[in-house]
Amino acid sequence: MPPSLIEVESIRKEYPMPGGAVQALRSVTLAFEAGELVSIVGASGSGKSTLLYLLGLLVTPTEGVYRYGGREVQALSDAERSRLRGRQIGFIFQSFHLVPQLSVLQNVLLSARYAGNGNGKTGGRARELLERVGLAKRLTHRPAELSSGEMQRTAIARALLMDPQVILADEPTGNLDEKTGAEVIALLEEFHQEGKTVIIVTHNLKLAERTRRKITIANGEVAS
Amino acid sequence: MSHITSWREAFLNLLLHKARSTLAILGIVFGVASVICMLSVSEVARRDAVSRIERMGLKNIILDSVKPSKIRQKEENQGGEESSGVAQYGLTREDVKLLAATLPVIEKILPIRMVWKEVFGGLKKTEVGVLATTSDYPAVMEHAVRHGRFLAPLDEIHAQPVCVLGHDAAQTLFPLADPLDRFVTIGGAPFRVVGVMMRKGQSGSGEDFANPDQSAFIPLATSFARFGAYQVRNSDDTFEGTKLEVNRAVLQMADTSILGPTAQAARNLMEKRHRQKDVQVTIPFHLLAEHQRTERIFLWVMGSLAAVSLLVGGIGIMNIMLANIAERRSEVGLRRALGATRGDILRLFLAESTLLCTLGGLLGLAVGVGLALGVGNLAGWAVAFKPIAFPLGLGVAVLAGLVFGTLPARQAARQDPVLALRSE
Ligand SMILES: Nc1ncnc2c1ncn2[C@@H]1O[C@H](COP(=O)(O)OP(=O)(O)O)[C@@H](O)[C@H]1O
Ligand SMILES: [Mg+2]
Repeated sequence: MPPSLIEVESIRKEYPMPGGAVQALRSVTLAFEAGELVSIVGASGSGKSTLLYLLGLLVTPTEGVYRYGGREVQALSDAERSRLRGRQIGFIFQSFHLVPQLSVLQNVLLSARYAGNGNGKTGGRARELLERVGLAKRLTHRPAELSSGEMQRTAIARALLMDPQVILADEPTGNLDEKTGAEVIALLEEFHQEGKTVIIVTHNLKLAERTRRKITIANGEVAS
Repeated sequence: MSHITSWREAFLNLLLHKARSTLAILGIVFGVASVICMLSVSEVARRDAVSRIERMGLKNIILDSVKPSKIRQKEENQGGEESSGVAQYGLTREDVKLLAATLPVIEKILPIRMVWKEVFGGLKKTEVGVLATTSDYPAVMEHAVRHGRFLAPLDEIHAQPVCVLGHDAAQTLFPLADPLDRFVTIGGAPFRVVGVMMRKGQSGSGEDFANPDQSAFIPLATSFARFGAYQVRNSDDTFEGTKLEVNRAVLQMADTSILGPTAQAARNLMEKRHRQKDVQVTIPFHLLAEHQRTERIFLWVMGSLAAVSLLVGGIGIMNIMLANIAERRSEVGLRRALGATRGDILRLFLAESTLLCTLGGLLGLAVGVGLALGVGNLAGWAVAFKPIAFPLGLGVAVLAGLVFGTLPARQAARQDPVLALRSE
């Protein structure tokens, strides 16, 4: 059997805090196949975001093994992890995290800033992606001029600019109403159809039911 | 390529916060401007002092007659009108002869006497002063003749009624005509003009001695033959009688190595011959060294002041950068999520603070030059700049950007991206 795209084994993550360490993840073992669409659910504070950022190489595990494409990455240097993150992973956040002073197009292009694009094709690709998410006419607008659904769609275009293997979304509909949330999820499903591995952390159980695979986290552990 | 991107990005980020950036660099601007301005002022002062000292001649020893304190006191006690007693002090012709005879290392000895006589051009009284001296004057004082000749040894021997005019004096007395072989009236007697001097240019600084450009030179012997050893100066309601034979004797040496001992020998000789302390010995060459010492101290003081103002400016930069980073916390988290390393974040903010300080430095150079020119204009100086001031000012500003930008930039690079990205 070929190795999964992502494998985590007996991962533990604790945050050292003045009043004693917080155990965010206790012993998590999971595998994700390339092209999967997965939702992660669980109570607030259960460790979902920590798990997602760990998968996205922004959090280093306190203990355990993380293999990306068969290669152990938990011990890589900051520069190597950052390069991998920039090329292979696209993030989507609940609060969008668009840079307010940059235009829609510039926000999308920010993705290329650290991913080492040498080919200069990103400009065209950014326009294409923005067209796909329905923002072709908003390229020069500032984030403040967009609705929250449009902001999240800008963020989706940004996440996809470098054509990453994996999309990690942390409560992408948390700040959206039901209708725009559904539109965003539909977009993510579209990209999943095209072969992206999409992992969505969500509170929304209705949404979670739409994915074939659902992981429940409770108290830092995989409950089901 | 990534370096160009960093600078471009830094520049764009600064543009996004124009007002804040402008405020942030004010400290640096004024710090650098004050460095430039202070260095310029000190350079003006230095050039002025050095040229004044050099005009006295670096191979010379200068003996000046000074009014002894006893006489001055007596005058003050008696007050105005009764100060009619004759004061006798200072160098004599005999002193000059003796100095020449006993100090063979002296190349030349030049006596100068200020003659209190009025100079008339035609019937008009002028402000031209009278200096009595000998034929060595042009060589010792490095003041050349432009036209005609200077006083000759024979003029001295025969106490001839001839004179040489300083550049400005010639202009005053003979604005239109060639002064050569014409006559001017000095102390009521006619003197034939035999020469006109080049311009010496004492640049208006309050000189302790008569301005040679505004003087008529006559032979020393003539001054005694015509006007005697006693002089009377009338000014408004007081009159002052003095027996002062020689105001200044300039001893010229072959080189600077024996200035000290020769000056000491001259001092000893004068002390033996003059009971009252009425001769002051000055060595311009030593004044120069002394001046260089004070200048060094001055530069240290200036440097510390500049350092303090740049420190203040730097702290301003640090403050602004900290605020900037706090405000852009989630942007930093985002950049990390997009693949930025800690080093990338560090460079991002260092580039901003360095660029900010470089702009501040450039602006400071401009403001400093403007300020110095403005002050020079008001004060009537010829403004001068020390070339080193420019790279120095700019370099210190750039350095301040690096130094004071490092702490905020490191703070930004170290912050936990996950915390920065959490949605509140
Ligand atoms: N950077 C951090 N520093 C300290 N504690 C943290 C940090 N991130 C998360 N935590 C703690 O770890 C636990 C899990 O948090 P999180 O992964 O955000 O949960 P969820 O996303 O499921 O709400 C919580 O108790 C939270 O307070
Ligand atoms: Mg969360």
